[in-house]
Amino acid sequence: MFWVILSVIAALLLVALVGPMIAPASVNTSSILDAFSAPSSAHWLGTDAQGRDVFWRLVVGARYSIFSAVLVVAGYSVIGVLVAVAAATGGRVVDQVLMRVCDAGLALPPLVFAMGLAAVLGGGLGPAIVALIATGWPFTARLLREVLRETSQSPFIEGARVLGLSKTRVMMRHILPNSLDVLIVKWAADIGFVILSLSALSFIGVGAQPPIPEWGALVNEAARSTAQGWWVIFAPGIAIALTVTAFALLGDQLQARLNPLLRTSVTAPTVNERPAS
Amino acid sequence: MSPDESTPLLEVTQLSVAAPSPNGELPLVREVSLRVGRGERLAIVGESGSGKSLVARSIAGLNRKLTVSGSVRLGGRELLDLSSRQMNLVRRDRISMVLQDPMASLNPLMTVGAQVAEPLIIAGRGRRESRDAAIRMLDELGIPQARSAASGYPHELSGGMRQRVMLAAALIAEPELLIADEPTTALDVRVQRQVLELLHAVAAERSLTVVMITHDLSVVAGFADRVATMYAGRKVHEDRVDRLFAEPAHPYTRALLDAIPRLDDPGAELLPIAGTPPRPGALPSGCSFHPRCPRAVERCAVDVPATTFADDSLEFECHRPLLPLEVVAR
Amino acid sequence: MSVHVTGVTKRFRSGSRSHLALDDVTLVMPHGEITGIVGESGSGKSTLARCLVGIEQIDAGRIDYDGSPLQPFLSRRHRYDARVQLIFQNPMSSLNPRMTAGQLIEEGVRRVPRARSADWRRSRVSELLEMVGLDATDAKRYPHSFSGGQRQRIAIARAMSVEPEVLICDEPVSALDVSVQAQVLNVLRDLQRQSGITIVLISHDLAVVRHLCSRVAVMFGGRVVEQGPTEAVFDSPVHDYTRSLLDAVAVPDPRRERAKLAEFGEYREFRQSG
Repeated sequence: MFWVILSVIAALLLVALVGPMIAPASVNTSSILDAFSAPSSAHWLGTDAQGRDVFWRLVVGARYSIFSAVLVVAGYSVIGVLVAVAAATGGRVVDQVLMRVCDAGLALPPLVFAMGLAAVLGGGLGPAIVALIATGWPFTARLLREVLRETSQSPFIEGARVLGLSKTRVMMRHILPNSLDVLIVKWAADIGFVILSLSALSFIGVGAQPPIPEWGALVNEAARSTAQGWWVIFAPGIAIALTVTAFALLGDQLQARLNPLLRTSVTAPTVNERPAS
Repeated sequence: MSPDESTPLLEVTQLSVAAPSPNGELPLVREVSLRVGRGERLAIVGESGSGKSLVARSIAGLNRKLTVSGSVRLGGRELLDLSSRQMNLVRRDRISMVLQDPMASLNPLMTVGAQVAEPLIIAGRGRRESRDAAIRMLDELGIPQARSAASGYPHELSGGMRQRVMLAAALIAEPELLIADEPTTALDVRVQRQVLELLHAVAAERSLTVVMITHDLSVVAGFADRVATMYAGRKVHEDRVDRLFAEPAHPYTRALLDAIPRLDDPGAELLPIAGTPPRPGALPSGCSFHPRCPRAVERCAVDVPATTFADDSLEFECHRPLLPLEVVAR
Repeated sequence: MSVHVTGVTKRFRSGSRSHLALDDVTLVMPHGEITGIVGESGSGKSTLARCLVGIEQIDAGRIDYDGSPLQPFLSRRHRYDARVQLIFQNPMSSLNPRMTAGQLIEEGVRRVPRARSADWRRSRVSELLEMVGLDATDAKRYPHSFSGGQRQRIAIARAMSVEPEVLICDEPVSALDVSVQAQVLNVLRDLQRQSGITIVLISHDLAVVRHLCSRVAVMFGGRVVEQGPTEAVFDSPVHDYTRSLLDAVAVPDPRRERAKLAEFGEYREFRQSG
């Protein structure tokens, strides 16, 4: 199962990477005469309202959808990690202030907030990415803050402190590396969710703008003309669903594979252990 | 089925336990044979991973997820062939277990009295009668104010008291065989002594047959009649308790005794055993102990030593045993 | 470095309840000796260990190292004083699973002022590994690939890397298998003999303490009930509690153990018939 999911994701990433290079040059040129031709051997997934090949638009759009999502997740993860580390090392006041800001961020419905922000920033793929980063980081920060707190109570952290190591070193070498496995799982699942959010933003018009073939934008364009050709909206819809599911499943699988492995090496029980007095 | 006086109560023959793993079956217990007569007390000692607990659990039929082969006979009746329902009956009526961690083995939501009485209630005795029997049992095991303690909950008791409750629950149905798996390990020194004394006294009063599993040789010195040493899944040595401590025939038992500091001989040099016990998947060739054995010779790395029966109580698996004087003399 | 504990009190509070973990503890741990602290669970011996290192702040009294307190006791935002090191009970959880043995030890080696060159640090890591009976090539391995006894020795090498003057060992062998306990105990004894370090050995195992320590303190309910040279305390204990502890210890001698159990049997018979 794990390898099936992994190969699906590898294939998706490959398409996103090389798609635009192998796509025919005509992918963005409209030819009204070809509009709404049904799937055929010439156009595997048919053509859209402007006669552009739906399959190749999807392939080219994969880069926008998937790489934008990776960028969003990377962006808010960096911010989230920085905030969590600052909160964990900065003393009680810094911790309280940062966590209350996080709580405020968590209290807003993220997608609605992102829509508003993207609109204020003028709409487009860039603003949509910024908006999603801005709404996403509190989740990472809050989660990581809790994990850091838990990890910092492990005996080996106490041992590192007693050795006289500086706070920064204990955090960067001991606490953080032993806390990130939770995030790895979250990242995988998040990429799917962000692809969906990005599509949603594009669909309502504050995300990627035509002619960028981001998948949400494709759905948006196609929504106006479902009556003439069902394939035009179906193809990107299914592509989004498949990709989101693949990443979500990857997250599940990573959780199952990563967690017990790491946990047992940290807290393997011994048979003859006595309770500490 | 009337048990013949000459057959031992418990007869384990060629018992093997293996765990499934991606690289084939991992042998955890390898062809262990044991005989325990009625009223006799056998101790099985070994380090973690030696398979001693698995032997105990296999006797009680608790290793359903592992591959168990060989034979376990209780009073002449084969236990390994029984269905899990039949085995439940055997555990209800004939075999009881006391485990290392009394807190994990007691139900935190049931009163102490109800847990001790449970085996009787399951066996169909009346509630009131069972409860009274439980209170008598708790009292016999030295629990102060047994009547009020019976209506309390496990968390209100200290570790030693919990272990007494476990013992009460184990003994109330008058089992023929008591299996005690590290019964004193998690306890403090003085509580350890109390539990040991109590276990000895109640076992003596009932002429109970006991199999005790432990990593601590000192604990069984006064309690057991015979001691079996396990290493890497095999029983490598068995002898009467006195001779095993005074003149251990197997180098491993000898090494274990030399490695522990003794309160009665504080000046003695500690001789550590080099290396670490092997893992089940990576057993050394020949005798499993040879890489750590101070007496090992070339042959030990090649030939697996066969079981030698030196006299009616001593058996060992070793090419270079330290034979006790009386065996040599014969 | 000698350690003087004078009138130390430590109270743990949770909500409205409070628990006196250390009650007016006064103790001497002489320079260059191994001092044992024995006691059962709840005696406060582990709390004392943590106070000695400075993980826990004490409520009253003072702990002096060669006559002056450690920095951790003076300021709230402290960095630990490397002159006092702690060995934990469970070596399974006291080493960072993501760092190799070499990295773990080198981290301490770096803290030594003369650890300028990478070559010196590397040879010092090998030296420390060999000191605890491991191989220099073990530096590349991760903690999970070592056994419990080996891990505990890595923990000792790591603690020694900062060249401490006091080593506090909190139940260093009680999580280990019988056959490997002696490896760790012998390492501690050799350390004290060769480097003259002051060692505090906290243990529930009286035989271990008797074997290794020249002085011993017996703790019960947060108090030190008896202390003195090991032989005096073990051979002619003054306090009833010490005596009851010593009586309770099992020894690997069937005759003596049987006699003890028989004594209890007679007492029980007598009580039941009476």
